Amino acid sequence: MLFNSIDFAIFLPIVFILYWFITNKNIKLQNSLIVLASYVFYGWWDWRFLSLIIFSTLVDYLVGIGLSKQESPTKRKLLLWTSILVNLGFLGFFKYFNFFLDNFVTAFSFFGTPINAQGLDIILPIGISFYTFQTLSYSIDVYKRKLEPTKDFVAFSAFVSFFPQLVAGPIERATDLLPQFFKKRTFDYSKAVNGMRQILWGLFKKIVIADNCAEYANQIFNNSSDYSGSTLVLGALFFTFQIYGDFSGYSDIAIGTARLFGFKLRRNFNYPYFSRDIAEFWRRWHISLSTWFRDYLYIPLGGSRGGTWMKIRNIFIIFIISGFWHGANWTFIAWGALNAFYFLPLLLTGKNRNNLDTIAQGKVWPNIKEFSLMLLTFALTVFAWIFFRANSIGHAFSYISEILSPSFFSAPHFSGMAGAFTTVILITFFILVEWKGREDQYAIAQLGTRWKPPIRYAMYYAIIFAIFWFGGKQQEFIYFQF
Amino acid sequence: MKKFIIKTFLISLPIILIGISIELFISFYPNTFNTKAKYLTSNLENIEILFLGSSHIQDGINPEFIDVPSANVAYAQQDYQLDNALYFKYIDRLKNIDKVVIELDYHSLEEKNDQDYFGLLWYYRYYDINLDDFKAYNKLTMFYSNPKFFTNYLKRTLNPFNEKNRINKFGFMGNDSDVFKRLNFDEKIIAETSIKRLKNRHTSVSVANFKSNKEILRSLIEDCWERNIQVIILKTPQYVTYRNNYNLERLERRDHLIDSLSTIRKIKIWDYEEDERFGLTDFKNDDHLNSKGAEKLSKIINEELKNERKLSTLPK
Repeated sequence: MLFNSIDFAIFLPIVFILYWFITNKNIKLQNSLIVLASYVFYGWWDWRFLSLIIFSTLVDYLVGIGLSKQESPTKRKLLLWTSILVNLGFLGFFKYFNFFLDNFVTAFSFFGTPINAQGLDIILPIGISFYTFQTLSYSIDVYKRKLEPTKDFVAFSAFVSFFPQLVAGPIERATDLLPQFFKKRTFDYSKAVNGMRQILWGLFKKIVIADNCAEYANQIFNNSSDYSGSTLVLGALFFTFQIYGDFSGYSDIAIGTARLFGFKLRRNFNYPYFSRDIAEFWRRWHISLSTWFRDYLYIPLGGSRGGTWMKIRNIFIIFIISGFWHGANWTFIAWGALNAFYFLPLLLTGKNRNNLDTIAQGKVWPNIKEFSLMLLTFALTVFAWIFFRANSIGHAFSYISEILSPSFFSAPHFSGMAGAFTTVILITFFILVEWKGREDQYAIAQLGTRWKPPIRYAMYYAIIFAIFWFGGKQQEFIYFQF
Repeated sequence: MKKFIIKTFLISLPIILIGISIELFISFYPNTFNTKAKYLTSNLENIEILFLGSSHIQDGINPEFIDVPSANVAYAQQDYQLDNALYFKYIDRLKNIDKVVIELDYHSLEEKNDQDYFGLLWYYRYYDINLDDFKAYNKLTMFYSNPKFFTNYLKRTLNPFNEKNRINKFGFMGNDSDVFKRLNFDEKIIAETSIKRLKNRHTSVSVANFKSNKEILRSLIEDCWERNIQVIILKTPQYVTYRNNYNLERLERRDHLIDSLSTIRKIKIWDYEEDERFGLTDFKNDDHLNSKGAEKLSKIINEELKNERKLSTLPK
C-alpha cells in the first residue's frame, strides 16, 4: 500500500479508530492490531511475500530466545550466525542473485571460458532491505547483551512489521522501538497534530516535488543522448530533488503516522542539502541507515581508530556496502565509492566533525563562506547522484562527458520545458520553506503555529490544494526498490 | 482525542466534499465515454454498424455522416482485448447488427495495454467491462486512477477561456487543435519535424503481441461469421510522414495478415491508408484525421455502403 494512495487514506483512519477506541484497554490487543494492520498493509502489494516477513520474524525471535538461554560463546555465535545467514541469505537471493550470476558469466567469458547460465525471474520483495536490517539489529544487540530478548512474540512481530516504517524505513533499532511496544500508549493531542502536520509535509514533498521532478528526470536520463550538457545538468538537479522529496517525504509520513499511534521513530533526514561538507551530508542523509552501518559494521571493523590504511579501508568498505545495499548494480557501488573519495580527505585531515551544528544557526541567511561550502557540497552530491540514477556505469560516463561538452553553455531545452518551469518554481518555494524550518524536526513543524487559526488553516489548505493541483503523476517511492 | 477527531473531520470535510464534487463532475460531464455508452445502450435495437478500434477510428469516423445507424466505440489506446470485450458485452443485445468494422492499422497488432492501463477504469465505469480485477475503491474514484490526467482535464475543462470540446450525440469529439494546426499546416515544417516527433511513435516491435492479438482477432471474426455479421477490416488514412516511419518488418507482418484475410470472401477490406483524397489539411497530426478528414472518410464510407446496398438490391 502506498502512503500517497486512496487505499491508505481509508486504511489509516480505520486502524486509528480501532487502535484508540476498540483495543486501547489492552496493550497486547493493540500490538495484535498493529501486526494485523501491518500484514494487511504489506499484503496489499503481494500477500505471498508476507511469508518472508513471518519467517524472518520467527527466526530472529527464536534466535533471541536461544541467546537468552545460552551461555556458551560458541553456541551463542552459532545462533547469531543463523540469524545473519537467514536474513542476509534472503536478501542475497532476492536482491543480488542475478547480479552475481551475470557478473560471473561475464567474468568467465572475459577469461575465455564462456558459460551459459540463465538468470532467475525474481521479484524483489518490497522493503526487504529495511526489515532485514531491523531484525538483524535485534539479534546483534541481544548477542552483545545490549538488549534483553523478548518472549512476547506479538510485540516482536509488531516491531518487525510496524507498518509506518516497514517498507522504506526509518530503520529502527530494537533498543529504541521494541520497548515502546511494552509501554502503555496514551493519546497526546499535540503529538497527534504534530504527526498530521508532518504527514502533510511529507505528502507535499512526495507528490508535488518528487513526482514532478521524476517526470523530467526520467525523460532526460532515459534519452540523455538527445540532450545538451545544460539540459543534462537540469536532469541531474531534478533527480537530486526527486530522490530527496521522495525518500524524506516517505520518512516524514512514516514518522507522522507512527506518532498518531503513540510511537516515536528516529529521524531519518535533517536537511542534507544544507550541509557544508560531505561528512555533514552523511550525518543528515538517511540517518537510520548510515548509523546502522556505523554501529554494526564500521565500528566493529575498527572505525577510525586504526592507522591510515585501516581508516581508508574501513571508509571504502562502509561506503561501497552502503551503495550496494541500494541495489544490485555497479552504478550504486560507484556512487558509494565516489562518496568515499569525497569523505576520505575530511577524515584523514580530521575535519569530518567540523560542522556539527546547523548552518547559519539563529540567523536568517548564511554568510558567504557557509553559502559557498553549501553550494560546493550540493554540487558534489548532484554529481554523485548521476551515478546513482544512471542505468549503467557507461551511461553515467556518457552523461557526464556530455555535460562537460561545449553544449553545457547552451540554454537547456527539452519537450515539456513549460511544465518544468512550474516545477522549478515549486522547488524554489520548497527550498525556502525547508531553509526557514531547518532547525526543526521537519520544515513546517513551527510554521504558522503562532498564527491565528484561520490563517493557519488557510496554510494547510494551500498545501493540500498544491498537492492536488500541482501533484505529479503518481510514482512509486524510489526506496521501495531497495 | 475527541477534539482531534472532530478537528480532523472538520478540516477533511471540505476536501471530501470537493473530492466528491470532482468525482461527480468527471463522471457526468460529457466525455466521449459516457456519450458513446449512452448512445450505444439507448440504440441497441437500431444499430447496424459497430466500429471498433483505437484513436484512429475514434477520430476518423463520425457516425453523423453515415446514413445507416452506426456506433463508433473506438477509443484512444483501445487494443484488441478491449475491442473484443466491448463486442462480446453488447453483441447479443445488438438485434439489428449487420456489420462490424475492425481497425487494422500499422500499429494495431503489436500494441497491447498493460494490466495497469489507467483507461481500464473508464471501460469499467461506463461499459461495466472489468478486464483486470480492479480493487473496490478504484471503482469509486476516477480521479485517483490518474490524478495528473484528471487535474489537467479539470484545468482544461473549467478554464472559461479554453475552447470547449465539441462532442456530438454519437460521442464523436471535434478537437482539431494539434500539431498540424500549430504548425499552420506547413508541409515543409511538418516533414522536417516529423523525425523527432515520431521517434517513439508506435515503434515497439512485438511478435508475442502480434500473435496474441491475431488470436483475439480470429475469435472475434469467427463469432461474427457464426452470427452472420459481415466483418470489415478498415485501414484508416495516414499522413505520409507517419507512413515513412513504418518499421518494414512490422509492416510486412500486418500486410501479410491482411492479404490472407482478403482472400476470405466473407471479409471486406476498406483500405484508405494511402488514399490520395486525404490531404494535409484533413489531418490533425501524423496519424489522426481531424474533424474535416473524419467527415470526408465517413462520407466515403457512407457512399460505399450505399453502393453496396444498391448492388445487393439488383435482381440476380
